[in-house]
This record gives sequence, structure tokens and C-alpha cells, in this order.
Amino acid sequence: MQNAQRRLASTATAQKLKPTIPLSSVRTFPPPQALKPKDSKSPIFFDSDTWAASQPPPPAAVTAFAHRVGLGKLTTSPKLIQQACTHESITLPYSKLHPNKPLPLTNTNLATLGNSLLGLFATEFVHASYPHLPTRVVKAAVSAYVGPTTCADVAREMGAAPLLRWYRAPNTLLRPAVLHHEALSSVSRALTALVYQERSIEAAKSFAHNYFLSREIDLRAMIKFTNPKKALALTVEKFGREKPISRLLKETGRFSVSPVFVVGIYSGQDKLGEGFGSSLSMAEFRAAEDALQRLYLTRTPPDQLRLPSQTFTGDVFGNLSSLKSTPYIPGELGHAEVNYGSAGRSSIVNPANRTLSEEELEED
Amino acid sequence: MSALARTLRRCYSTRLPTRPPSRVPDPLADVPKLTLEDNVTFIHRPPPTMPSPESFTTSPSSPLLRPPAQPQSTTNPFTDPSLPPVSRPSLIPKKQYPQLTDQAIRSMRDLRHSNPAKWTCTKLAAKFNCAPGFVSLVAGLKSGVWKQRVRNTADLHQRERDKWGEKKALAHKIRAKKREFW
Repeated sequence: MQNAQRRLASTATAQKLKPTIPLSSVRTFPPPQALKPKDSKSPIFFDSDTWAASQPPPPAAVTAFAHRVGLGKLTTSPKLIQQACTHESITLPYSKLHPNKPLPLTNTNLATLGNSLLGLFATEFVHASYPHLPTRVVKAAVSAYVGPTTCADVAREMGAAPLLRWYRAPNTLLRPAVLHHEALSSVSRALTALVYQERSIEAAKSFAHNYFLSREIDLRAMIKFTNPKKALALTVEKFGREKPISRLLKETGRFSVSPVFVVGIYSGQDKLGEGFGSSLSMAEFRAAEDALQRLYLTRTPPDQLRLPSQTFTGDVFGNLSSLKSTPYIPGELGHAEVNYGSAGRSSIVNPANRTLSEEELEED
Repeated sequence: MSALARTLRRCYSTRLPTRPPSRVPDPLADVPKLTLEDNVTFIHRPPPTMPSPESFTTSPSSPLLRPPAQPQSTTNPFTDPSLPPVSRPSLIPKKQYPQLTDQAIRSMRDLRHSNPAKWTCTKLAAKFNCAPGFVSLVAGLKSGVWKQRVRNTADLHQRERDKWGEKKALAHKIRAKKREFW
């Protein structure tokens, strides 16, 4: 029963992804490859789905898409936008169907460039907004803002899905299978690179901020601990404060079936964090988590956010932009996290640790 | 009623027939109020145990990013009356151990590395008059040896847990699952 449902679901998605080409945009229909010549007796191998996928989208649709996205005045012809919507997986079936025609321009290089640009803008945004955030959380946040799933979602929201030209290439020895969301993510990246190429880095930055960095992400869910009490103790030691001590603020029903404890974790007179729980250890755990979250999730007020890319004045050719840039005041450097639980050099042995025999040798 | 019964009965009631009105303190008594125009009073009442979700670099909610409230005081933090009581009084260190010499530490390390099964951390702590945690910190075993011992102990514990009945095993699993949601 389950297998039948899965097959049904996969065919349903395949139906949705089947390209629909308006006949007005096709030069000759039916295509000559589909028709069998009168004299020939050999069979014709023609796949209508592949033929439809290899057809370019109608120019009107591409122009409408460009205007919808705000790039209507970027170029005069829709060819660049079409290139941005063409994934490289289409080249193999295209060359087989139209052996005499030149291959269509694909968005691979644009997507790579766009990926680097988006990574740059997202990283500086996250790091400047949350200066004390641990590295692993910064990486997770950047993936959430401009990762492959987000890029695919943004492209779908823009309406690039019907314009995407791609082919579901199967698994080979040299490269894995091409998936729809992978092909779709290349579109939004390529568009960012196009904006950079045709306009300037500031324009690309505002494009990225409007489409990608305006999305809401939950950073609190990305901060996870295995032993927050130990991490907090080491962090407090790094800040040069007194050792953290958990203190009971309120409790009720201690020996009943539903106790509630409210515990605060103090460093000297300062309350670093507070947590509740049905057991003392749970409350202390949550209090330590709260203390570390208060530290990590300290953000720069959005109106005072200054990003380093502000200093990139000018376009690709080094011409200074006409916009006057505000003077750049660098934000405060955050305190680096402790090594414990940072997933950094966890498997690397510190060379300063010496063995007992080495110490004995040194004494002799 | 007999004369004896009359002497033994109570002549006063010990319970009020109706419930007295509950005395709840006025929640608006000690709360910041602001009088705005048109005789409107703005009352700010955040929940008492709710931590602030907003923390900006200009006014951080973490005391680590602000200068400490008071310089390091000489009073014992575990018995300071101005602060709330410690949540686990059993974890307050009961005695101060003297500092060990380097030679003592070296001999402790040699004993531990020579026979970890015989010279456990607790035994060495009793012998050298120091905290058991200090022994594992200073005379810790090499990673491979320690991991093997941990694995042996874990296997032994798993064998004991396999002897448990259904109910006990289920209760253990429920507690472990609850810990995941802390």
C-alpha cells in the first residue's frame, strides 16, 4: 500500500515538472525529428518530454519574469535572463536532439559567481548582526539564508520554475543525479551574479538583502548544547568572572508528581541566566542554556549595522559609483567562543601535551 | 444525652462554615506606571520569570558583556545571605584540601598509570588527601586506555540493564526521552 502511494506521488511530481511549451514560440511543429521519412524503414527514437525540455521558454515569458523580479531594465534582450534560467544538465539531451545547432549558454559560471557573492553578503550580515555568535551557528545561519534549499525556494517564489531549462540526469560514475531543487537554486544565484555583472556590487548586495537576507530565520533553534553547564563555566572563566553557581529562586511541589523549580545561575552578584524545570538538573540545564543564549544572541541594532562591503565603492571596471558612501565605522569585535563544544579542532591533539616518559627524560 | 457524653462534647467550632476570602496581594501595587495625556496610565507588567528575548549590543542582557555588578567580594558565595540559596547544598565543597607537591602529583600519576583497576581516583584521593576530581584532572589516563575502561564499564552496565523487567526498562527509557527535551 505504501509503495503504491509512493509511486503515485513520484508520478504526480513528474507530471507537475513536465514542461509545457506554447506552440506560438515553436518555429516548426511537429518537430522534424519526430516525423518518420516515407522511405525509411528504421524506427525513430524520439522522446517528446526531452524535446519539450530542450525548447527555450517564450521570450515574452522571460521578459515578464525579468520585470516581475525587478530586473526589467537590466538588459535590453531577454538572452541573459534566459541564460540564467538554463541549467547545464540540458546540454547533453540538447546536443543529441539538435546535433547541428550550437549549445545553449548555461548558468554554471554565473551560478558559481552568484554563490560566492551570496556567501559573502550573508556571512558579513550574520557576523556583524551577532558579533558573539559561535562559528558553527554562523555557518548554520548562512546556510539558512543563502543555502541550496533557500536559493531554490527563492527561485520558486520569483516564478522561475516554469522558465527553468534542465534535464533530470541520472546517477553516473563521474557525478551524482541532478535534482530539481539543485537546478532551481542555480537560477537565483545566477541572477545575483547578473546584477553584479551588469550593474555593480552595491546593486548585487541590495538584491541579495531584499530577496535572501530579509527572510526570517530562528537562530535560537540552531544553538544546541550537550553540556551547557560546562560550556558556561569555561566561558565565564574566559571572561575572568567568578565561577557560576546555580541558585534556587522559586520552587513548588518538590516531592509531588509535578514539581516546578526556577533556578538562576549566578556569577558573584550577577544573574547570568534563568531556567525552569520539573527537576533541579533540568532547571539548571535550562538556566545555563539561557545564560549562553543571552550572550550569543546579542545583536547589533539594525539601524546601527555597518557592513564591510560598504567600502566596496565602484563597479567591476573600477569606476567609482555615483552614490556617496557613508563613512564606515567598524562594529565591535565579538568575544571568541571557548573550544569546548565548538566542533573546531575536536579531533586534533594539542602538541603541548607531553607524555610522562618525555617529562622523565627531561628531568634526567 | 448522658452526663458523661455532655462533659466530653466540644462547645466551640474548630472550622469556619464558609471559606474566608483569599488574600491576594494587589499585582498593580509595585509596578512602573506612566501617566500619559488624556489621563491614560500606561502600566508595564512583564512576567516575573520571563527572560528578555531582546539583547542588543548597546544594552546587552548578558551580565558578561557589562562590567560586573560589584567587585569580587570576600564573603563565601555559598553562604552569602544577600543572594538566593544554592540549589544543591550537597555540592558545596565541605573542606579545603592542601596543595600537593609536584613529587606527590608525579607519584600519583605513576600509581594510576601502572594499575588503574587497583588505584582508582577515589583511592588515590584518600591516599594523597585531595579531591577525587583533582586526581582525574592531574593523573588522567591516556585517551585509548581510558576509552577502553569506559567501554568495559558500559558493557557491564548494559549487561545489568538487560536483566531488568519491562516496567523498569520502560521507566528508564521515558526518563532518557524526557532529558532530550530539556
